[in-house]
Amino acid sequence: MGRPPRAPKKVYKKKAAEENKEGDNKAAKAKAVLTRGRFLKGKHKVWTTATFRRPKTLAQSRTPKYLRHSTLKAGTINKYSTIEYPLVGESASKLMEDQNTLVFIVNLKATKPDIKRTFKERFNVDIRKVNTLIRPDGKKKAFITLKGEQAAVELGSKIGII
Amino acid sequence: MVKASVLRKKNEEQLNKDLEEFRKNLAELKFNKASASQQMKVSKLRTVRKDIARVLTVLNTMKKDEAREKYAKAKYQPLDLRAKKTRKIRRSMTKHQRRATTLKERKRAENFPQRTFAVMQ
Repeated sequence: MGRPPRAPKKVYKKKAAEENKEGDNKAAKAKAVLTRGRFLKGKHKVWTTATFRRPKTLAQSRTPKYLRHSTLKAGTINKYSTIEYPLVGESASKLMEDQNTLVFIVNLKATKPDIKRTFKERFNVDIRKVNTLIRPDGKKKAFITLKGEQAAVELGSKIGII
Repeated sequence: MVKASVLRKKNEEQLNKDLEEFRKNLAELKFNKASASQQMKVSKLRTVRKDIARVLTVLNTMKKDEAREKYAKAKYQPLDLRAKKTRKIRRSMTKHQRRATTLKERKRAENFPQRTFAVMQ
């Protein structure tokens, strides 16, 4: 473009060699080795990025000499603990008839897929969807919509919700 | 109502089955209470809950006893199987450590014991 053309690399290297004068370099090197020892020139690692990241070192897994807890206690979470009891009332019965939905109070820690699974296991019905909310009194309410016409009313009368 | 003495004669599998049964029972009772369609004995709820607690107690104590047997001769015992006492006592010196003396002390004690003298009247 606007720059003058550069000389090829060969020329530059030759120039450098001439300037450094091989003889002097060797003497200097020998002197350095004698005064400071053999392992002068460390392998210089090439940094390709601007940031320094902690290098990955050996990570060993634990091999404890003793257990901290000798036994696993029989847990309180079981297939009957997710769904606690059904809600009965005007709004609940309305949902049952119109939306094919049943309303339950559910364990606070239960998730929608959990609820779906336990419900299916317990009552053998197909579920379309589960909606949840947490009431102001701290309990979780689940709206379980069933598949199939009138399935909610059937199941409701079987459970005893009417 | 189950008795704990009866439960202790059962093995783990049977106890788990009982537990399952009681839990199912409890769940049904809770449903009945909520639906209030029939008159129900609310006292039943309490008895079933306590039954579940009894089964769990027996189960856990069984497991703990098994663990104790298993680790009785181990060099390092699991923490919950070691003596509880108090934190301070656990960290203090053992009787053996307190009584320990150097060879030099022992030799001195043996060769130069504390003498008692009495003035003869």
